[in-house]
Parts: sequence; C-alpha cells; structure tokens
Amino acid sequence: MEIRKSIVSRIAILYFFLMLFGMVVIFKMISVQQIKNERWEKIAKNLKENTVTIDPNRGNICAEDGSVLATSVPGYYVRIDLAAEGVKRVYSEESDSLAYYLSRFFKDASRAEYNRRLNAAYRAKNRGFMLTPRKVDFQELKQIKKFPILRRGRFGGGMIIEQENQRVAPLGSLALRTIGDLNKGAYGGVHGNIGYTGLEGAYEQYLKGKEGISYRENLSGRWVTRTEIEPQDGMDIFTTINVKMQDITESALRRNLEKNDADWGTAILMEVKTGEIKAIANLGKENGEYAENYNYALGNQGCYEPGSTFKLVSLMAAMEDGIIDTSDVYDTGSGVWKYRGRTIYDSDYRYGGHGEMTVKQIFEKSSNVGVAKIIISAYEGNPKKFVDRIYGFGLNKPLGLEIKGEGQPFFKYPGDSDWWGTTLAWMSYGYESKMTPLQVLTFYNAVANNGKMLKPRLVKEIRENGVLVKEFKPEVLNPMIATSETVGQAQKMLEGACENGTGRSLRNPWFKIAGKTGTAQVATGQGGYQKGMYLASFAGYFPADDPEYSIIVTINNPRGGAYYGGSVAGPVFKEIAERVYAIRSLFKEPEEDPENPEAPVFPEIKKGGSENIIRIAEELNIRNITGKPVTPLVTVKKSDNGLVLDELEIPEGKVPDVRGMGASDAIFILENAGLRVRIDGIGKVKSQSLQPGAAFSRGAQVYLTLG
Amino acid sequence: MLFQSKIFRGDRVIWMVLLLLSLLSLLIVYSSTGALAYRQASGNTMHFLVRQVFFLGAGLGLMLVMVNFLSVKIYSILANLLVYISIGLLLVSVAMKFMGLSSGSGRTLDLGIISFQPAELAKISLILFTAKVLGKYQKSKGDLKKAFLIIISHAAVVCGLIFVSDFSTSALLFATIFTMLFVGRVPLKFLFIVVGMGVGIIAFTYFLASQFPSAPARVHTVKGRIDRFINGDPNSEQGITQADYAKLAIYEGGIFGKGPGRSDVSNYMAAAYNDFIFAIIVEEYGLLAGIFVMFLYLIFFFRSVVIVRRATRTFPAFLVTGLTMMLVFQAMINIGVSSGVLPVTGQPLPWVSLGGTSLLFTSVAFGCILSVSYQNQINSEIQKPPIQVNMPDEDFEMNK
Repeated sequence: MEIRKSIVSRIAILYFFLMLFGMVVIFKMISVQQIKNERWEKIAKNLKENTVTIDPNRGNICAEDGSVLATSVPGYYVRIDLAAEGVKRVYSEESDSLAYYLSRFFKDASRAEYNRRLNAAYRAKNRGFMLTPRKVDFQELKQIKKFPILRRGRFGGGMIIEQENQRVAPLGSLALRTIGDLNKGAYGGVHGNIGYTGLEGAYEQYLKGKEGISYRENLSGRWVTRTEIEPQDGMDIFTTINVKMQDITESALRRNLEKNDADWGTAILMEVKTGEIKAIANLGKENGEYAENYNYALGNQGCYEPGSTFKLVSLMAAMEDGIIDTSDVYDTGSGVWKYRGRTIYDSDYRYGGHGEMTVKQIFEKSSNVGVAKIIISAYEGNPKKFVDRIYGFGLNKPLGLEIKGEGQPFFKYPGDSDWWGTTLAWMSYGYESKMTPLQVLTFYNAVANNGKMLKPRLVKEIRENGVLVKEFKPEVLNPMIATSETVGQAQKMLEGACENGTGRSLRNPWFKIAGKTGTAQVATGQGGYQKGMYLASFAGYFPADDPEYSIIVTINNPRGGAYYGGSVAGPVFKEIAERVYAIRSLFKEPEEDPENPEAPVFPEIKKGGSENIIRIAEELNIRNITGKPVTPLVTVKKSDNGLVLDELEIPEGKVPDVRGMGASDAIFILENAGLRVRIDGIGKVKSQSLQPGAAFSRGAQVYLTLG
Repeated sequence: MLFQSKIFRGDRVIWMVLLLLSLLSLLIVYSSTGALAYRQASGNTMHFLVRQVFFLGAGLGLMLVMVNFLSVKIYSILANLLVYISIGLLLVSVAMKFMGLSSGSGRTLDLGIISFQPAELAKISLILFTAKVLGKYQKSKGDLKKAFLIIISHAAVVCGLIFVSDFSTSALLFATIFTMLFVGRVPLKFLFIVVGMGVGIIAFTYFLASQFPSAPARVHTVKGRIDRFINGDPNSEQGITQADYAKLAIYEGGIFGKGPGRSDVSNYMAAAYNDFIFAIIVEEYGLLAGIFVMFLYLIFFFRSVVIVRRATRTFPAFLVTGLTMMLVFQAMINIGVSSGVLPVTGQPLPWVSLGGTSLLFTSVAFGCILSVSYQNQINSEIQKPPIQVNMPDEDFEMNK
C-alpha cells in the first residue's frame, strides 16, 4: 500500500504543476487577446502587405496549326519617387528638362503641362508618380532611363520600373478584331490585362490563368520572398483560323476596298462540313487606311439589310411550302412593278426588262420584280406563313457566338406596328429586315451542306501546356433546314446564278462556284434610302458539286463607280476561292504512316525554354534527358535514346539567336531584347533577318521566317 | 452505442477523449493544410485530410489490437530489446547525418518501405525500459540507487543521440524520464544532482556557442532560441516571426473563434498544421475551445492517475505514468509554444497535429495505457489476468 500511496501523491504534485501551467497559458492567451491590440492590427495589416501576387502568363491565341496569333511580351511603366533624397537634391534644377523630355517623348501633353503635373506631385511628396502615360517597350524604357533625374537610377533618381506583360499580335493585323483586345483599364491605358473583345474576351476564363501568391517573410533577419502558390499560366486557345487562308482573304479584301474606296468590308471563309471559320477579315477605313477596327462580320454595325442574297431564303420558303417550283413561269414585264403605291425596280430595268422567266431564271438574273411577284402571289393572303417559314429556318435567332456583341437579326412580323402593306414585297428581296454577314453565310453554308445548318465555330481546342483540355465539336443548329428537294433546287439555282446569271464573272476553268450576288441600298434610318450608298455582297460556296468552303464578302459604300454585288464583292470572292482552292490540298489531314503509327518523335527543336522542352519530352515519354539546365533557355541535342540539354546564354545588346526555336519562345526572347518582331510562315524559326550576335539599333524590326 | 460494444476495452473516458481529439484533428488539419496542399499536393486540398483519416484510423485500429490481444507483460519483456534497437537506429541516423547521406535535419530514417523518426521509437522504448527498471528495483534505497544509475545512463545515451538532430524531443524525453524517477520514489538527492548537471549542460552549450562559432549548428539553434526567448526577437520589429503569427491567430480568434475553416493565419504560417496547431484551433474555435482542448488532455491525465491507482503491479503503474507524462508534456509544449508561454520549438499536439508514422507511435502509447486499464478492470472483476504469460514476474505487486 505504501508504494501506491507514494506514487499517487507524487503524481498529484505533477498534476498540480501542470494545472498551474494551464492557468498560465489561459492567462497568456487572454492577455494576447486583450492587450496590445494595435500591434496585432498592425501585423494583420502587414500580413496583407507582405502578400505579393504573381501574375501568370496569359495564354496564347493560336491559329489551327498552332502558329501564334496573340501572345504576351513584357511591357513597362515608369514611376518616380519624388520624396527620395536624391531626387530632392536635383529636382529644382532638372525638373523642367525632365518635363521637356517627357513631352517630346510621349507627345501627349505640352512641356508646361508636364511641369504642372510634376510640380503638383512633388509638392504632394508623391512616392510613386506615374511618368509613362502608356506601356513602353524595352527599347523605350532604355531611352527613358537616360532622362534627366531618372538617369541616376533607383536610389539617386527615384526611378521605379514596373513590368507588365503586353499583348502583341506577331502576325500583324490578321483577324485582329476577331482575336480581340484586352481592356484598356480605368486609368487611361494602364493595367489593361483583362480580355475584353473578340476571343480574348470570350475565352478570358481560360486565357487568364491563375495568380500565384508569394509572401515576404523575415527568416532569421533576412527578407525572403517565398512562393506559396505557383501561378498557373493561362491555357492556349487554338482557333479554327488558318493563317494562309486568312492572309489570302484579308489581302484580297484589302485590295478591293482600296480600289473601290469603300467604307468598310468583311469577308468570311467557312468550312462547309464543320462550320469552322477558316478566315475572317474585317477592314474599316480609318484616317484613310484600312484596319481591323470593328468586327463587321458578326457585330451590330455589320448588321444590315441583306438585299438580294436574301432571295434564296424567300424562294426556298415558297418551294418548301410547295407553292412554286423552279420551272414555274412568272412575268417580270419591263422590270418595273407598281405595288400598293410603291414601285419595285429590277436593277437592269433600263434595258427593258426580261419579260417571262422561270423561277430559276428570276433567281439567276436577280429580278426584284420576279421574286416580289412570286412571294406576293404565294403569301399575300397569309404573310404570317412566310415569316413563320423564315423563323423556321432559324434565321430570326442570333447564332449564339461566344464573342460578345453579335448583331441581332431583325425580321418584322405581320401585325407589328411597322408591318406595312408593302413590307412582304420588300422583305422578299432582302429589305426591311437585318442580318449580319455571318448569319447570311451560315444559311448559305447550310444549303451547301445539304440542309444541315452548323453553328459557325472560331475555336477548335483549348490546351493547357500542350495538353488538350477542351475540344469543340461541330454544333448543329438545324439538322435539316428544308426538305432535300428544296435544298437540291436551291443548290441548282445558286450554281445557275454563277453560270448564267449575275455571278457569271466568277466563272473559272478549274471549278464551279455556286453563289448569289447582293446589292442593297443602305437605309439611313427612318424609312429613307441614301442615294448612291450601297452594300455590295456575294455569298456562296465552292466547288459547287462537292462544296468544301463557303464564303461571304460584304463591301459597304463602294465609291469607285461600280456598286453591284457581282462587280464589287464578286472579285473578292473569286480571288479567295481560287487561291484557297489552289492551296487547300495542303491542309487535308495527312494520312497516318501505316508502318509505325505510334512512335513518338521529338520535334526538331534546337533550342527553347527549358520548361517547354522538358514538358514536351515528358509528353512523348522521352525519359532520358541529360544535362542540367540552369538557364531558362537551353539548347537541345538528340542523343541515341534521349536528349542532351545545355545552357544557352544570351549576350546583352546582341541579337539573340532564335533559329530552331518555336515562334512563341522566339518572340518572347526578341521582344525582351528590345526588338520588334514580325513573323512569316508556320512552324519553327528557319531564318532571322538580323544576324545572331550582331549589334542592333533601338527598336529595330526583325523578320522571322518560319518553316 | 459505440461504447457499449465489447471491443473498446479499457478506460471509456480515455476512448472518448481520443475520439473527440480525432474529430478536432480532422477539422483543423483540413482547414490548415490549404497552403501546404498547393505546395505539395498540386492543390488537392483533400490530400492531407485523406492521409490524416488513414493514419488516425490505423492508429485507432492498432490501439484496439493492443487492448484486445496483447498482455501488458509483453511490453515488459520487449523493453530491453526495444531500447537497444532504438539506440542502434539512432546511431545509424546520426552516422548518416554526419556522412551527409540523409537530407533534411536528419530526424527521419528512410527504410525504403517506410520512413519514420527513430526518436519516436526511442521515446516509447526508453519509457518502457524505465518503467521496467523502476518496477524491478523498489525494495530498498540501494535498489532505487541501482535503478537510478541504470536509467540515467541509458537515458543519457538515448537523449544524447536524439539531441544531435532534435533538441526539444530530447528535452521532452528527458523531462519525462525525470518525472518517472520522481514518481518512482528515487531519492530527491539524486534528482537534484541531475537538475544541477542539466543546468550545467545547458549553460555549457550556451557558452560553447558564443565561444566557438564552429560548434555544431544545433548548438547555435539552442543558443539562438534561448536568446530570443529572453531578450525578445530582434526580427519582431522588422518582420513577422512564426510566434507572431501564432499570437496573431490567438488574437484574431477571440473568445468564440472565427468559425470552422475560417482561419486566415494558417495560410501564412509554415507549420500551422503541426507545431502551431493549437493557435489555429483558437483562431477558428476561440479561446473557450482552446481551454476545452487543454482540459481534454488534463482529463486524460486524470484518468491515467486513476489507472495508476488501480494498478496492482509496479511496472504497469510506472508505464502509464511515463507514457501519460510524455503525451501531456508534449501537448503542453505545443500549447505553450502556440500561446507564447514557451520558446518556439516543434512538438506536435498529440493525436491532433498532421502526422504520418508518428501518429502510429502515439497510438502505441495510448494503446499501452488502455491495455493497463483493461487489465485493471479484469483484475478487479475476476482476480485473474485474462492472458497469462509463462514468465516469472520481474516487478512487484503494489499491495504487498
């Protein structure tokens, strides 16, 4: 008994001490919570200030073959710490010349204005006064570094440099409006990093990536930045755009606009079987030059009365309702028809009219009188049936594109306050209603595709670090817009229009085109039409017997004398069709090598970002990678069963050697070195216009040939 | 009801405490490993929760096996063997550390299939060993002196080896052995000698560090920590230390806490799920919950005292005392460090902190205590141990 008693009493003593300790802890916790509150508030604030977000790299927007349409390169802002000791010493002497230099450099405000701003900020002891009204590139930054005051650097001259990536389109203006833009931000061009228009806006979620977080921490007296969460780079958007076809489309359109001195024009090339938009060009006149300034192809400003291209819809409606057949005969008389107090003219009525014609001929000659007579005789008693049929084709609904700002199609409905007695007649040949060029093309594409209406697609896939994340499949809007008989007759009429009708000028010896011209007077608003202002268009597809591509070309307000769809928009259609036909075999899916279909071969990359190369190697299951890359860029050599990596140093002030790199790596390196880059072609860099290792002048342009 | 089932043998209150702690562990580990999950498990925030569920489950299973199938006497038999295995493993890891074969602080021994900290095994082994020796030499002053010498020499070797890589575990184990000696009726004279020597060693280490800059790094760590604790952290004016984060967490928690999963501070702390977990408990569930958690460990301690009182023999009594002391001390260190009462050191909160194999060693400790408790219950009911081991007893019945 004695042992137990002794043991237990000794434990009791320990228990007592532990209880005491517990009391101390409770007391301490209460004191932490109740006393010295300010210190904790300060630390909590510090905690947030010590948190630094790390921006991810925005994903690229690529063409279907992977060539880069939009990517990010570094850009800079410069601020000045006007309360720095070094600045104070020299401010009074040099501030005026700094203002002079800034004014001369940016040209956005006078020297006096810059002086006023600087002095106000100086009096307010502004520690981070923004000097750059816009993002500057590396070359410009180097110049600014030599400005008065600033040339003394961070400590002497209070110069603060902020890096923020900026978006560039290495292929120039190609499909620029469809690729889209980043917003310009709320502070006059600063911090524009959110996708806003076009695909940049539509796929912002995927492109933007995820911010990382790092903390500034004090470890044993040393401040270190610890990356807590790595930033996740944005995903790459692979569009359906084909660089070659886009180039063809855009240059054909540009030449034509210049020749006709038009306000704007758009041309869209769509793959019939898939609905993929292979090319989309939008050019508007701005200060005498044509630039991608608005997406007329699908936006609200491009939403116009379609004119004669709509006759296809009207006649198909009547055929579908079994009211007419292509061989029925109507009398178009002298090409002038007075209907309910208004007069309908054929475009060529001055030559005396065509008299009696079959429906097919009416379409081929694009007779307004003919089409109006057909539709009036068929639907005058029941216009609702006609409009319902148009709705049934699915034309009254927008296409539901991912890009913001799609123009809303507009069709009047009998009973509406603006449904006049003449509306049915005018509607029949494309007036008193509105559609975007892309909406018209979608309908024509459906006819080419034997009645199956596909939603136009701009994006094929989304990839993250090269790994497929999301694949977009063709989307069917209407599996059969009309019976196959109607569609078949429509195809014959379109073919006929190009063989014997208004589209005759498009004939060529190699393949047949099917399509329809359109010439619409442009409405100025309340009912009136402006004299001499036309919207010329041409919609169709080729080759007529086995359609591969459909195209619409729309030219607004040509001033060159000609204004008919056939003579203004037609040549653009023809040029695109012929050149695309010539190269189209290049883009057929390559047949798989039956001998060895699976063996992965590491692409012939000579150098590039080490992360990218290692990632590609991992994907191809190449395990044997030797060499220890410390530099972010490496050279690559293939060995028997693996890869050997080696360091790649880029000497300062010399043109970097980017031959053998992928376009994206090459652009990043060159832009970072201070060169402006233009690329041509697809694939890896074959040659560069500035020799590697050569010295280069500020902001020099370097052309890369890919292949 | 779970507790009515026959498999949860031994002290029901301790089982209850364990299950409450398990629940708390899962809640806190899930919410405090967010940042860690991004670092180590590519953002899969479930990763560490799943892991913790696995190890807690395995630990509870291990306890059930021990309570239901293992006799207390087995631990006595294994004690000597285990202590020498521990010393061997510690030697191996120390050797590896000095030959530069191991990465990190040299606390972990990687055996291919599993990796664990030999110090964890050593803690339990040395306590078993101490309990056995103390139990065996209780008859006379001479006996106790002999016991003291045997124990202190073994403890010196084991703690010395642990000290090389981990000061606080070494100190914790030594303190545990020391209290066992105290409870085991070793004359106070000897204990005072030990205390005197201990103070001497710490003072020596401290001055060694200031005199010889080339002394081993751990010596400097000890000195630095003592300096910081006494003089205040020189960094605290410029930046934020771990201890500041912990205090901030306690401050932000208030009386009732921010609510489950609402902890902000855990995102910034390096060891929120581990050495400072108590601070995060207070941040999320408040001061009252913190006091309650502390209370749970004290309840556990109290139940252990009851077990010791009911024990019929000396070995189980000392065993329970030792293991309980170790666990409660460890808890108090974590609580003390988190609240700023003790200098910063890394001890997990037993059965709550995120852990791997170390959780299994903790469960062995609890398992031993529960085994003894179960044996007591059997003894009082049928006056006969249920599982007989045919070996002569080396310890004494306390009633004689």
